[in-house]
Amino acid sequence: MNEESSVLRFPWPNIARQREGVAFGMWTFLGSEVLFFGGLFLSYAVYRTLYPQAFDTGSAATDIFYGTVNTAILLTSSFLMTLALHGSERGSRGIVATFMLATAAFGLAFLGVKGLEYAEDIDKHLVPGPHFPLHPETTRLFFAFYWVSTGIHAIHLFVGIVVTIFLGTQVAREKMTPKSTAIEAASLYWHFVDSIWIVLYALIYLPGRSA
Amino acid sequence: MSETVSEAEPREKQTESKKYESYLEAGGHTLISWLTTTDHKRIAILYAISITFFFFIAGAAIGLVRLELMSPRGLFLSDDGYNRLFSLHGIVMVWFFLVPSIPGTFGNFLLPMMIGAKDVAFPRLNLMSWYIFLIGAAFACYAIVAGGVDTGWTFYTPFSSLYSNANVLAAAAGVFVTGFSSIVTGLNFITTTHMLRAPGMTWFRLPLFVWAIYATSIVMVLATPILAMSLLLIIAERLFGLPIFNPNDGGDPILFQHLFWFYSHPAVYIMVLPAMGVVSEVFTCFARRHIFGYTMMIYAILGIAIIGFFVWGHHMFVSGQSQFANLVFSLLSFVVAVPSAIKVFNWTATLYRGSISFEAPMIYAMGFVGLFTIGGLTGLFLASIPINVHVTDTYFIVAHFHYIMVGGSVSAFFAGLHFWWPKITGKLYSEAWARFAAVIMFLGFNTTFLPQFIMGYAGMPRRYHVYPSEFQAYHVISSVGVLVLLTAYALPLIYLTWSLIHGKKASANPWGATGLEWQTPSPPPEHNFEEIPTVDTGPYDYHTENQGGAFKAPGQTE
Amino acid sequence: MISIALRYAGVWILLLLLLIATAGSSYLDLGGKGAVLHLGVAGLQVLLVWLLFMNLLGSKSVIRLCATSALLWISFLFALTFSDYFTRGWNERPTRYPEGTATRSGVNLPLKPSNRNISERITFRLTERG
Repeated sequence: MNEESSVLRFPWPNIARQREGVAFGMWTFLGSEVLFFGGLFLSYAVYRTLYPQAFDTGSAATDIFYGTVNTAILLTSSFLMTLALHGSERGSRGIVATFMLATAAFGLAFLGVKGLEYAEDIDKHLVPGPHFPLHPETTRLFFAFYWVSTGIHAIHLFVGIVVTIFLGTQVAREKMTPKSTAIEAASLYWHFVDSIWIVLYALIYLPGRSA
Repeated sequence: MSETVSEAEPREKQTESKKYESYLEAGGHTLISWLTTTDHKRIAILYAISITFFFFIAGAAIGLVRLELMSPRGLFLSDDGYNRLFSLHGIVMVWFFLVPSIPGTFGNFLLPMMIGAKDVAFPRLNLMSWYIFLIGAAFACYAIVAGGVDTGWTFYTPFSSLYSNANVLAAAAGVFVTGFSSIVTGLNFITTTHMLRAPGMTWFRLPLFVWAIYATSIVMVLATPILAMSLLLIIAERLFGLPIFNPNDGGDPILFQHLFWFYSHPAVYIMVLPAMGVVSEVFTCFARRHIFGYTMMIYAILGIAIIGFFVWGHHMFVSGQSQFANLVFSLLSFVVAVPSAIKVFNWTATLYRGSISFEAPMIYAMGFVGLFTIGGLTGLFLASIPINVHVTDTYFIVAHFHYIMVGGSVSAFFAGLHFWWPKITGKLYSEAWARFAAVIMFLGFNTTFLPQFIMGYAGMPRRYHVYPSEFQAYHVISSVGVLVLLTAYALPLIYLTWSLIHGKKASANPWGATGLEWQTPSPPPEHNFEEIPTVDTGPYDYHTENQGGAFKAPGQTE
Repeated sequence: MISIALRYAGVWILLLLLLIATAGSSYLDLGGKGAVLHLGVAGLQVLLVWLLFMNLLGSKSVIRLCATSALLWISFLFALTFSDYFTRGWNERPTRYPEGTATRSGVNLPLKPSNRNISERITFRLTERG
């Protein structure tokens, strides 16, 4: 019972209402995030409509191996996160801590692979600039999108990793109850960042490979 | 930090200590107690102080601009200096005053009280949003001190991303960060309205101010991220040289305008919807009338909030946007005028057979309706493509949006400030001075902006400080008007501050108004209500004898 | 615990299978249908994540309203913006920027030093196909 009341925060009348409120507030924020990435997707859509060949050329120059591995890593991390949340519902400290930290580890693995991919891209001069190898000029637009979108996604993921590690260790050290509403909020955010990557994967790596 | 609220809050507490502690006293008087507060009322005050600071910064900038325009050859500014001053005015006024003005102050202070809640849904997030605002403000201040920005408030590409030599990065970063402050505030308000209404406070018993803030929050949450993205793309292009809007690489600068106006047109409704909410509260109170067409007013608010997203293209009629898109956006822009007109008619009908008294808030609110109507009707001119093409980038546009944003929103801000001042501070201001300021604000405003309609229609372009001498008469009248207007804005600063020290103590409900916020003492206690109230009637119940009672002038209170 | 974990594991495996399918299909020559397929699979995966992992299916309707209105608004953004781009060619020729907008058309704005090399590449075409 004591654990229950330590979850409840001012000014909520009871825990059930607070849980609903936190989920609702988080979804409102995610709605905002959808529009945030929506601006990026719109730019991509406009330029791909104008320059379909250039986007095929650009996309074919990306490394689909890294992209696919990373997608698999993120999907797995999301699966682990659902287990952590399930542990939270049952109030199991051990399950929450273990799976939160495992989720974060997969997140870090994603960033590691991303780093390898970035290093390779820079090696191939795929950053729009003086030595950019691809033609026509408009492929630069594709790579501008590539760098901006993967960069913003990586920042989002980084925030998610920090939050997940923080919550996981707090729970492990018994400084936070596993039933805390923060865990559900963090899991919603994590899945959302995952779902953004799913779309980015289809936009960045898949076009232009068949030719 | 985890305060718990048990169902049975000790009831004796109230009876044993008749003298309650107001939110200004509870928690302490130290600066730290204010900077770490999570009380929505104190955060409202923090917002009020910060936006007042920015209001006068941007006001000073436009004072210099108007002084420069007294002479057709310019008086003392370089071309570049002139560009930087009006950009400073626009950027600071829009993002650091108007957007957070009513939601940040009255929204924060009143929304929880009006729905019978003890605080907003996420109090610590609420404080965080103010700090995010400050971080953005710090970027903006840096941009100003480092020499300013010359892009205008619209940051149009490719000038902003490729050519400008000014501090675009700092200014864009400032606006970007501030945007997150309004997203966070918005989601807090939406969650509060959905989850924390008092028992009996159904959706159709909410005061219109709550509805207005709720609709504004939806616009904030859904539109602001697009602005954030468009500014981020500018930053990416400028900082890392990534080609995004650069025509040399096939980029389309018009795409930036689509993204920018997807936010910035709805942003007008972020500014004007809360103003409409304030006016609905003030009109009903000082006409002692139920609002005319309450349900229709709600649908109008929601209609404006939603249709407001479909009209952004009317800012781009001459940009190179397709003719077909022009037609679509023109039609939709006419449509959005309908709910606005409904609101104006309903306010007017509310006054009909009311017992109207012209206290200061009422004068400001009536000023709002008049000026908003002029601004709205000239907006219809601009929705029509032929006229729009004729007056694009002239002073006609400048006058039009100032009628909406200054004549509308700022008037309503002052109406709300005077209306709720006794509640917020517990003090009464000088009614005579307040009425005087309200009247000269109205006169000063019209002196400033009416001539701009005429010279704009005659062809005076905006953003030039050197102009043909035939426009000089209009410019001089306009500049004199600004002098009057600045006086009218400075006066409340003086007499309201004066009232803090020397003002008479305000009773709980000096205007005899309905609404839950008036059922608390002035200033309210820390958690608003000892016990969450139960609501059994709709708002604006001014007709029943037992509610509110006869209207009492401020001096006559007990 | 175990049964729920198994159910989530099923979803996870389904997501991975979809990933393999979509990655493999990118090497097949499907013409214009490729893009539709890739985005369709991505949409399906996102739907699975949102509905099951994020539990939209079991949430209150007000929360589902949040998610749907975000998607609705993004569709407003796309629909109205493309009402411009899809109809640019309807009157006369598509809008073209004059060759060498920045430096050759008499608009001699001072360039930021870091962008000089970009503006030196002055050839610009709106469509590569045309």
